[in-house]
Amino acid sequence: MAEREQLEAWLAATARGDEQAFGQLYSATSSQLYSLLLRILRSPERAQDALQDAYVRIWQKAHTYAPERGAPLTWLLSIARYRALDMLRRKQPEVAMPEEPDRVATLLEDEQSLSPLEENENQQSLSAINACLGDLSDEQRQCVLLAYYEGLTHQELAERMDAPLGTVKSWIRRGLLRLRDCLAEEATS
Amino acid sequence: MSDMQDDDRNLDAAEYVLGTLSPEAAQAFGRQMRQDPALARAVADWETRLGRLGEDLPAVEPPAEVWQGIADDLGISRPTGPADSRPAANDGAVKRWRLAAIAASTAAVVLAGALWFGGSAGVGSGAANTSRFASMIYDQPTGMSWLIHSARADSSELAVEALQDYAVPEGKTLRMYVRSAAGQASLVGDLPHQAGRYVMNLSPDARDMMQPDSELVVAMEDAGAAKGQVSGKIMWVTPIALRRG
Repeated sequence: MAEREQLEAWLAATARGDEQAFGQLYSATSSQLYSLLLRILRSPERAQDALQDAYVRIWQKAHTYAPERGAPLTWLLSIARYRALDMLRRKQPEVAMPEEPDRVATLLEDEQSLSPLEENENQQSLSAINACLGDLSDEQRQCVLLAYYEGLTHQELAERMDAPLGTVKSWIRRGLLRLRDCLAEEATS
Repeated sequence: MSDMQDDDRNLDAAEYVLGTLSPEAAQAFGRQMRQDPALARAVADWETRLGRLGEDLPAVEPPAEVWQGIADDLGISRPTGPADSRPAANDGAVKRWRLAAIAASTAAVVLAGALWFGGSAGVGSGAANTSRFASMIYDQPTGMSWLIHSARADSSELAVEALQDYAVPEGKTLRMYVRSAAGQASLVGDLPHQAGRYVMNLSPDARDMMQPDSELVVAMEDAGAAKGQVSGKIMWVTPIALRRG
């Protein structure tokens, strides 16, 4: 069984309340989620708290995972990352970050058609995003990566990069636009 | 709706996923998304696109207590499954620098695991029942990693291992600082960027600031610039972990 299929099977079994499958899913994926959480939260203690919260949520919401949406690991990482962002923004609890992945999943459950991105998801390897990141300007790439890996806001990015806020916003949006278009080209080439 | 408006909404979705929207903008976007499946789909697409970045990091084993906490929360008791079933981060052909990243990541997983959670690698590993600080710097685009640890928590020496060469422009140097939770920074020294093992001496100030809530900051600075406070472009910021035993 391919690794993705194995993860999907464990997720499906977890959704049915299979504790053994959940344990296997945790064992197979927790080190990747923990690594991302350490990177974002920069504290082992907070990363461990976030990891625990994320897997409790995964257990509770496994039934909302839709394989056609994307790879299981991507879904798991999204849950963990939203949790980390929520912890970073804890002083601003009105940001409903952790709720949204499930909301998205619920909204998508009834839809029949797949976007071009999803249709190509299985074929799109990690090399595509790395190649496309290489296409961005240094500033655009740094903004995207710092925001993703360290959860920095516009203002924090501006301070980190010693650049005006408006410039940083422009770098991010242009970088994301370029990244999207490049990934679409990679998927069709 | 015009293409420009579509682009704007799509980029709002991207920034929502990235987490860069202001709290107010994120909240407003969340409300819109709940009413608009197209926006929800855009968010899902961006989660897929950007999610690959999360697969690109070197894996780090969490402590066993995390699983126990999860089991306690959920009222389940099943121990974790086999540890050898970890998925590979990549399954396709990759470019050279991607391969370098994976090679460095693999080494970093093994070594970082040893450093952080009780292995025997490194300087002064024979000291039992002592505490040491450990950290890892990882450059995602190149896969370059530095493994850093002290012989003891109060050691004035820092062992640094550069896992491969890292290109530094002529006239520039990588300067590493330790920065406290209060934001004060103290110079550690020039971070070696040629593959190999090194020992860096800590000043008394820097040694005192090596605490679990501090962080290491590496900046690209002019080689001739005065050494003191962080003055160059910050390249990486990484936490300092406390390893016991």
